Amino acid sequence: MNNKYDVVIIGGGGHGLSLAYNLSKISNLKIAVIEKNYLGSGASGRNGESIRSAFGHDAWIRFHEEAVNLWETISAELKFNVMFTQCGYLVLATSPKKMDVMLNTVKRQQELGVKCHVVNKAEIKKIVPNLTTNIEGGVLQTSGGYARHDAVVWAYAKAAKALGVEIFPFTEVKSIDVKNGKITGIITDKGDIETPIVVNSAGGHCAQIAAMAGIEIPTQTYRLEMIATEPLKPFLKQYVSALDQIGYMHQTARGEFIGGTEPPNFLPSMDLKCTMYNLKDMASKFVELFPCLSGVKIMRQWTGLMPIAPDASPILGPVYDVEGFIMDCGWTYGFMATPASGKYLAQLIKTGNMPSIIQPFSFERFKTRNFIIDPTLVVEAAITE
Amino acid sequence: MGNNKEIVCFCQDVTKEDLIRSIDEGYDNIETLKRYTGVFMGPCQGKTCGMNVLKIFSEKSGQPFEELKVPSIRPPVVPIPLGAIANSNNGKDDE
Amino acid sequence: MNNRLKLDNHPKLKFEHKKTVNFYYNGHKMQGYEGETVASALYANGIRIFSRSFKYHRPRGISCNSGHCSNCMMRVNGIPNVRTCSEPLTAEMKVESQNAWPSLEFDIASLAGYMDFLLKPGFYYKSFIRPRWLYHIWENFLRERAGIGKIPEKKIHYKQKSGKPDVLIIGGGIAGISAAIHAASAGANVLIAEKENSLGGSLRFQTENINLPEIHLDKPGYEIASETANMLDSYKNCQIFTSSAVFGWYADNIVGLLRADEFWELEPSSIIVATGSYEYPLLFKNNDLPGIYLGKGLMRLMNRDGNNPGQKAVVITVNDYGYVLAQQIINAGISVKAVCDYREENEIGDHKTLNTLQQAGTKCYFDCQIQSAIGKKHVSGISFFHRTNKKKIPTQVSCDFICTNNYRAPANEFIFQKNYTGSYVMESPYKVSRKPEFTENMELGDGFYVAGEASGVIGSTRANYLQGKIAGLSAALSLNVEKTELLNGRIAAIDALKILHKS
Ligand SMILES: Cc1cc2nc3c(=O)[nH]c(=O)nc-3n(C[C@H](O)[C@H](O)[C@H](O)COP(=O)(O)OP(=O)(O)OC[C@H]3O[C@@H](n4cnc5c(N)ncnc54)[C@H](O)[C@@H]3O)c2cc1C
Repeated sequence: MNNKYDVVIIGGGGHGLSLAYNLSKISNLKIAVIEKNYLGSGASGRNGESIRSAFGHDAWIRFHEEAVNLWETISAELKFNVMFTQCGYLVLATSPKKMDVMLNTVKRQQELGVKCHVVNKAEIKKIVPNLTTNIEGGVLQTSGGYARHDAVVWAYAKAAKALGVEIFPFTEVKSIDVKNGKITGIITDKGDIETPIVVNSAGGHCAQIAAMAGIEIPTQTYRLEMIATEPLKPFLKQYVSALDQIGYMHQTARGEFIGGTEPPNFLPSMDLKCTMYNLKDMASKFVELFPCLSGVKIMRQWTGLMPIAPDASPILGPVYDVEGFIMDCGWTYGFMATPASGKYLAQLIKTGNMPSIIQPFSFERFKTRNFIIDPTLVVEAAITE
Repeated sequence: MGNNKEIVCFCQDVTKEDLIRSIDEGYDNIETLKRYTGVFMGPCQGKTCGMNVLKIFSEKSGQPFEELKVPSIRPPVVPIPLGAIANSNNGKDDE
Repeated sequence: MNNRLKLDNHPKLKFEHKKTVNFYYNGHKMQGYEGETVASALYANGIRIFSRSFKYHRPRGISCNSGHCSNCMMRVNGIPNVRTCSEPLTAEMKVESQNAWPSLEFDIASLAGYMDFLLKPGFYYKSFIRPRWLYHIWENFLRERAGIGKIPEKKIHYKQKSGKPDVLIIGGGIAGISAAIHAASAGANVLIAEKENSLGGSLRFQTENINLPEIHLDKPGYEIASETANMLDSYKNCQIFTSSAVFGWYADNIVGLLRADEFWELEPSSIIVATGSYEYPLLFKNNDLPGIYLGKGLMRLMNRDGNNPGQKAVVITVNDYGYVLAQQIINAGISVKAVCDYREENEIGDHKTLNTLQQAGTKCYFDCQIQSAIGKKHVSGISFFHRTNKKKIPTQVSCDFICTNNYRAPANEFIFQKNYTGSYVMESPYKVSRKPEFTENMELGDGFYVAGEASGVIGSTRANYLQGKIAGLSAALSLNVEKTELLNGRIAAIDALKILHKS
């Protein structure tokens, strides 16, 4: 480890690595990525892998539509097949109330260029034959799908290294030095580093990292659990998320059915141990949606952390009290955003100007109370309209 | 190549040679090796491959066995059908 | 039952067979004994290939015979991926093979072994990147090949139950039984859960004599197993759950258990982990051929299921226990042609068993590096050379089946789920295990105790018994039962264990 870098990125998840790659692609800056565990040990290696852009808020749609376009090319760009598959992303409603939410948003999605349409019960029966018939309908985004989460981490790490980025796994940031309102360096368990710019892409630990620089960010970290079943022959092609159940699920190329739900009485916690409470919630909802899963065996259950801001939208860009401190955190749907956040935050760091596509997600919004509330998320946002 | 394989992971057909090559490619800690090759992740969840993977890793990397951190152990210990847990549902979403 | 290869005249064991029932394997009518495992019935009918492997479609047969590995997974009554070695046979059962076409015997996809470069880990990350449509084609190919088993046809139904025992004992081997006896006799409400259909653990398949002075001097293991299990029967405050799998400890302090069609949520005050150990396969070429068994898997096959694996055996071992296994194969009336020991001759500890074997005509080779198992769909021999032999000139021995004996590793998932850290022990190139840190009272903390091989001390039956006793008494003492008698009992057991470890 050198003791001087132009930019230090905290967190070796998808976001930290994507930013490192994108920034070294457009600049000659000396960049280090510091990760306390192995690369991808945070949410980037624990998520549901979903990719879509058919959201309910303009800012979300624009940003994620750009991300979907990038997903189409990143395997080639990074020379690493991240196994992005556009199998279709079906958002499902089992209640009339949630169906209304979708009917209200689909037109705007189409206007903004998202390849999606409303599908009724009969059409859903055809494309997802194993799904329960107890549904209202849904919206299918044909350009949506999923990619392999670990591969995304490895692909960005490899590409970033090839461009000269230095990556330090198993190194923990202990504190951040701020002098006269400016970042001056960080202290890790393996040594100190001088740097004028620190990026906070520490996932579930983003509030702690911010606090190290004396900044309070309004995120709370929640734990989400997921399960994987034994591998089965293909029975589910599309990515499915269910608004009423607050659940998301798909079948991987290896044949495992993977999914997670958010149970009622969701409370903040950073404990990575699994609970029976979540297991029962997941099993019940998945069997309700896919009755054929009843006899299928769960092989593994795990937990990941998700930092959630009051409006469940990410926090991107500078904070105004500490110069050189950039946020890339508060991600609830951060996997699908990985290629786009890296690209635009790299532009921000290079030019000093906030690109318009990510402007709405700036830290400022908590002061101006311009919250970005998207009604189609499968997380419960704390602030609702 | 061919059928004379030295199988470490019976669930996903990962051979000793595969593991050594993957470590050489840079997947050089147990957690990453697990995710790259699929060892520990098949239906047996490491009950067939576990110690052999650690042994190969230790020999290849030179890291003493005592210092290795095994991948986190996740429930269930034996596979359980979703339906067994689902019927007892009391965690229903009440909107 | 023409094909039956049962060991009905085992020289030592008597098999009490239940009713004969019909079942169907891939549409063929077969017969088996009600309540034996599905795998046992299939084996008795001559089936040796139980599955085809995930990627290369290699033939796989019974290996662990205890529900751990994935070798014997089949579709049973419409449910995919059932481990047939731990599923009891019932009348008219429909058993189907998976993941093979046209059949397990002749599976076209096994040619994949010759295009394995396409399937190696990581290959797909490096290829089919450009043009993108190529990946779509590859992806479809990959998806169709992936997965084992098709989705089930029907829903299953379980009843929900709950319980709050004082002491939950996971595992019904000698350590668990001993813990249960001592906790129950101290007045605790005990629930002991065993995955298999009867208590006794590994001792059930042990035909060699065992010295357990607390119970009996020199009696075959299976007799000690049934005697101690019977002792436990007399305690009204001890619930015995057999065919019951504890599947996890959860952070909301609930332990999940499945038993027949019941799902139990348990909230015990203390937990004693007595889950025993796992055997791992030895590494050599074609180490996965049908007919290569893990030691205890083979003991179950012969001494629990009463199946006859063949006439000529080879045992491959890395420690003294291999000789005990060889002796047990001989006890079943089968000849052991050779024992191949990884170690040098001067490292052998159990000269007594070694001499008995040699007198019975078994050739014992030392310093062996196994090169390869011989055979296409079933093992027919073994090829090895001596490690000191520079030219690596192989010796070949033909056989009907192979019994492997690797070092065992503690089955300590429950302990590590709860985040107890511990250290590894590695005492020879093959011996690896991970040992939790527990106190003299067999306590891990927070109401968790450990006993038997799960503790990482892979030792004698007596040590496991004493550890069980200490853990059982400790768990009972933690329930505020102030009894000096218990304390004294525990001190005596701790002392006995110390003396045992010294000898
Ligand atoms: C169960 C679950 C399911 C999800 N499903 C989806 C989905 O389907 N689609 C989707 O788009 N998104 C999904 N997400 C969200 C998505 O996974 C995350 O938003 C995304 O991975 C965040 O990436 P990241 O790089 O910002 O954070 P992370 O991947 O969490 O990386 C942060 C890293 O920072 C490191 N770190 C923390 N503190 C320090 C320190 N002091 N020093 C050094 N390093 C430190 C951590 O170890 C970690 O590796 C899901 C999340 C979870 C938990």
